[in-house]
Amino acid sequence: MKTLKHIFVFLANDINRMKRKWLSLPLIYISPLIFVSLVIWMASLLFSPDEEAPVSVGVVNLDDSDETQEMVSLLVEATDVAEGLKLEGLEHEEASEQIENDDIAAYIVFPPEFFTKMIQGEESRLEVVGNPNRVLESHVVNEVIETVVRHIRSSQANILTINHYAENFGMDADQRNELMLNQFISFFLQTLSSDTMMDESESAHHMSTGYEYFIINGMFIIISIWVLVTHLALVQDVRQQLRNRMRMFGATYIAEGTAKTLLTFTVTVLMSILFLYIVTKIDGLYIVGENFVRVSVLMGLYITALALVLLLIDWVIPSFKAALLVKAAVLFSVLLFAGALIPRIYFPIYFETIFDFSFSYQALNWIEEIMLGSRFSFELDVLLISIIVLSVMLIAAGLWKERRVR
Amino acid sequence: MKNLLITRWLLLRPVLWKVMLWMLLPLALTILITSAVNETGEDFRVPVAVVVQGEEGEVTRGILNSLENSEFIRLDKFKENEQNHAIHQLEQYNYDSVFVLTEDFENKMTNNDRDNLVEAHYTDRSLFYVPVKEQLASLMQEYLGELAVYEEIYSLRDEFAPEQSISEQEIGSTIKTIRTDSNLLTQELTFQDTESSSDYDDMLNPWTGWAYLTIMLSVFMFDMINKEYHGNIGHRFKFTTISHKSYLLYSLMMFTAVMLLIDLTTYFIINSMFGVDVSLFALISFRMFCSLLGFLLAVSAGSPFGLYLSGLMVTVVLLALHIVMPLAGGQAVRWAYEYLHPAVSLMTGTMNLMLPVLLLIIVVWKGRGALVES
Repeated sequence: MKTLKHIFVFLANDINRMKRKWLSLPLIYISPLIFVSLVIWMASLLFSPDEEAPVSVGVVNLDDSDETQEMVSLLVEATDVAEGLKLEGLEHEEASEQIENDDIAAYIVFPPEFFTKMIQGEESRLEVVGNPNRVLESHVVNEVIETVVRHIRSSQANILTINHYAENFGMDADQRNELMLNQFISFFLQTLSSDTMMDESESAHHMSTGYEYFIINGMFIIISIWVLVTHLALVQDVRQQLRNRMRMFGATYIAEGTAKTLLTFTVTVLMSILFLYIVTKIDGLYIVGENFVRVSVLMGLYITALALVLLLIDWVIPSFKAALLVKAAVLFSVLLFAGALIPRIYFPIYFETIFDFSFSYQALNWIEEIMLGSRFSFELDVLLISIIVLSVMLIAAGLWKERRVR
Repeated sequence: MKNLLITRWLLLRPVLWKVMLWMLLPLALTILITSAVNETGEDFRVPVAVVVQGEEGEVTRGILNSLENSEFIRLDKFKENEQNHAIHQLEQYNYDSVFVLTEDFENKMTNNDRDNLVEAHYTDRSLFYVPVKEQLASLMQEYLGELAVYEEIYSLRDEFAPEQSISEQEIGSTIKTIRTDSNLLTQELTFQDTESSSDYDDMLNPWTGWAYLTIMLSVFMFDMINKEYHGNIGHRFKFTTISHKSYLLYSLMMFTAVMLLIDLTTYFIINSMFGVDVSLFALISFRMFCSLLGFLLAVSAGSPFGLYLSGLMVTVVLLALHIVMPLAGGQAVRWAYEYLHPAVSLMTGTMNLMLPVLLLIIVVWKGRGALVES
């Protein structure tokens, strides 16, 4: 009974403390929202190429040999080199002028003596000059050109081999050069038309898009940061005198911790549910009322577990400075092993066990399953066990701190 | 000056070990984190499934082996009757993509028939579908190209030197030698009107990690200044020849000097361990930036608690800005990054313009105090 009373006193005290920060708190809560949404938005731009107008790319040929000219015209005509790219032949000055006018995203330069050097196996280099105002697009163009270069490289190795044997057989130089040109063109054409080899199809089991997946991950990250922020707003260096006074009234660490966890939980859960509601409304993610409850339960348990972890660190590490460092590091690894930063499948196999025991992974995974995969079930075992284990550890730590003689 | 040093020493001595620990922490953590990331970074792979519908002949095996050996793919092979299982796993997002080698893949490859050899499946979350597809396609191209080379060389032999005999293995190994030994075409990306900076190949540049740890921890270190500024020792300076603020500024200088010594050690250790260089000038100005930032935060924060939180916040904001950087287009934005963002300045070796701004603020802070005192 006495403990319960103490918990209420601490709660009232903490609520007062938060009220005093009413101006700075909203700012602290909103800033991670802005940052994370910005990053997510840009990442989704990166991974889902828009189907707008094709990117214009210039092709500059400084080699006046017929062979290269033919190759360049083949390249410009081949429409299926890369979807979304439009190639056009340009002069060097023209190209750099067009970059300054922001007309093209990049241009490719075929250096002088390109073909001669190539068939003699001498070093030559294809240059991609990007538009500094369109860094992202330039990198995309560079990636596409890399495929083309890989094609050229393999054709090059092939004709060099043929040349090697033709020389052995005693073919004369003129004939050999002509042969190599023909061979090269045919190899190059073959490699350019490699799209027919594959029959591509997108398997969609879930009625979702990658975009929504990013949003849910972002939401998860933001909620986790909120837990840390709320926790930090509540813990403060309590001076030894005050601590002694509290002990005289019989107030325990456990009562104090319960109050802090309760408040962290309430504040973050309320904000998260509001956030979830707004996200589902704005984004049009369809979610049934029953599932809304499921997601809220998952979030609530996750928030509780995270709040307990943070409190435990706070109690075990006496130096506030060090505790802060550890809390930030732990939050990062909780997010990392939730698969919120990098999806689980890309992790090395030896991390599998960590994921199996990671409460954050279980929470995030089931939130995704429910919101994107329209599942109507969930599992809570890891989450519940984590919370129980953490509570036991906290009680032990609280008792230990109580007994410590100073 | 000598008295000052002695005072500092007396104040530091009881907590010397702790302070030393905090001073060396950025270096230690950088080494730890960078090695951990570089160690495990290579094991992060794209999970890909391949279903072989027909029998697994020599060509198929060769191509699958090369695919398995590519450094970014983790390959799982399935037989025809397991195709549904593999596709189901893909739909559960357990694979990045699934490639089905059709029934007469082996036959078609040997006969140079290039149509519909492979069925490729991917999902809305397949982040690495395109590079994996390109890899498989280029391996197939390579094989088909080799076939064409054999054919061409045999026809040449029949025409010019029918008495010679060449085996396919021989030609195959010649192609391989040429691929590895001769200077084949390379490619380079530059940006118009800017100098291209060389990129560090490994996952994490140790200096980036070090920079953020240093920003945060050097702010943390200034809790001493914070306590000395806000504590009750202000009155005592009325009886000394030196003013309170000058005393703090001297402390700042001493601290910076010591930290520069440690930075120099850090510079040599990181350079020799990871082989990554930054310009010494940039390193020195970065340290000065951190010190000034820490000092200003310490002076403006009401308590050590507030100082630690603001240090964490500044670090997170700077880090977030850095992460967003490659996505931010525009010359002006990049210019702003290079000259205003301390960590980016450190990496590119440019003079950070925030440094004189912070200096100016400190001069104003000092001057204001002097007016009040007189």
